[in-house]
Amino acid sequence: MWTFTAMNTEVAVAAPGLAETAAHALAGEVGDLFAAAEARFSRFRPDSELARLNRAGGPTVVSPALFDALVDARAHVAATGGLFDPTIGAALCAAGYDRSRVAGPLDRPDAPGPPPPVSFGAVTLDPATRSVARPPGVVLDLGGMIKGRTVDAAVRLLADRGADLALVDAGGDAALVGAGPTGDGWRIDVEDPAQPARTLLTLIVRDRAVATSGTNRRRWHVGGVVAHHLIDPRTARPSTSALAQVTVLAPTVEQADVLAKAALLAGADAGARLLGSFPAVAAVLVAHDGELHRVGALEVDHG
Amino acid sequence: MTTTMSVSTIAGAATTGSAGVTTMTTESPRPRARPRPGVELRRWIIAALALAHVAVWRVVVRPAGDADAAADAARPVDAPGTPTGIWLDDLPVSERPSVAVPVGWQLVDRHAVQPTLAPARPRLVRAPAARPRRVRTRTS
Repeated sequence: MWTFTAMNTEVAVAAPGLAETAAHALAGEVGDLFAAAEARFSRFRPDSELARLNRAGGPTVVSPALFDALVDARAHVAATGGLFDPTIGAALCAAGYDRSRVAGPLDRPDAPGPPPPVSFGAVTLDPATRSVARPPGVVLDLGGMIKGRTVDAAVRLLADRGADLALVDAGGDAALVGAGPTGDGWRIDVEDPAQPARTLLTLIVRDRAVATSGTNRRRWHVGGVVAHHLIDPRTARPSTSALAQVTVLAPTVEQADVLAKAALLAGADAGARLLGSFPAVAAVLVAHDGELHRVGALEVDHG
Repeated sequence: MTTTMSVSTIAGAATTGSAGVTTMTTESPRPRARPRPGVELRRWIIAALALAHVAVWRVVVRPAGDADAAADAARPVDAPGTPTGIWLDDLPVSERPSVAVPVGWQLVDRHAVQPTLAPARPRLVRAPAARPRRVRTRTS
């Protein structure tokens, strides 16, 4: 297994069925994928294509990769009833998440109030010219899907190279290809959001993707009040959901990532209903009071 | 006034003396020696090489020189008595004039980082787990 750091997280790549040299070369190619995605989609890098789009004053022609991501983002917005929405960038900045956590602590004495809520419907995507037009002040943030999307791209690359048994794990956004090294499935330890060292339950999966959203990790203080990165697009403020953490299993990491965020923002009941409307999706929802909800078919490792 | 005229078929030069006398010299043309075939060939080779040299100089060397010259011309010159050029973002915000740019154009900070065309590959580290089979959920 090989690891590298990208997108402010540690990424692990394993292809147990391949020779060591081939696995090493593939891990390098996966590293290239992540570096390229970060250079294009980062909200924090002033030279990224997304940052330049966010500075543009009018309709802007973008790369096919960025345009495709925005088209898919629009589909996610529709599928989640607007709970996933990439126009939360300004709200994230207003909440204090205006720079990468690598750059320093986000704590500060105060922050501007939230901007008026906006929706992705206000963003125009013109496939004829591959151009994007955003209303003034709208800041796009694709952080809710790009890491998962890049893991999915990495898995396709691994499959193209003949790896029918593989793991790509980007800080919990993971794709697990095949039935695991021992043939009895991959194991996913679901962390307890109240005690991160404790495992709530262990799931067994084959050919699945997993992603988790929660409010216990990316937190900071603004004027002594705890803030976090999960912005509710309906209020443009950090979520006050009763859920502390949602782990979703889905066919792709991008879908799992998007649905985990949307379900957390929706709350336990609405979140479970949303997740239940996708046939190939299963999930574990954990409330702040410790109550645990399961959605879909989950195989639990009792050993 | 005596005028002596001669004609030069080589230089065709005419000079006028201080006394207003124009002198022209006539030389009878010398018969051109017929070049030997080896000499002729050498001349052709030298001419071809010279042509090639000039062509290369024009195509390769000259444009770079021209670009340098153009860049030099574009640089502000701090001549005494002439206004010195200043960057917009060197001015305090309150003193910046409003600049209208065409739709779709934008004013950028000249110190802005240029787009990264080839991001560096992350450094790979071998992890100890030889046969990984577990993933731990983490908030993304």
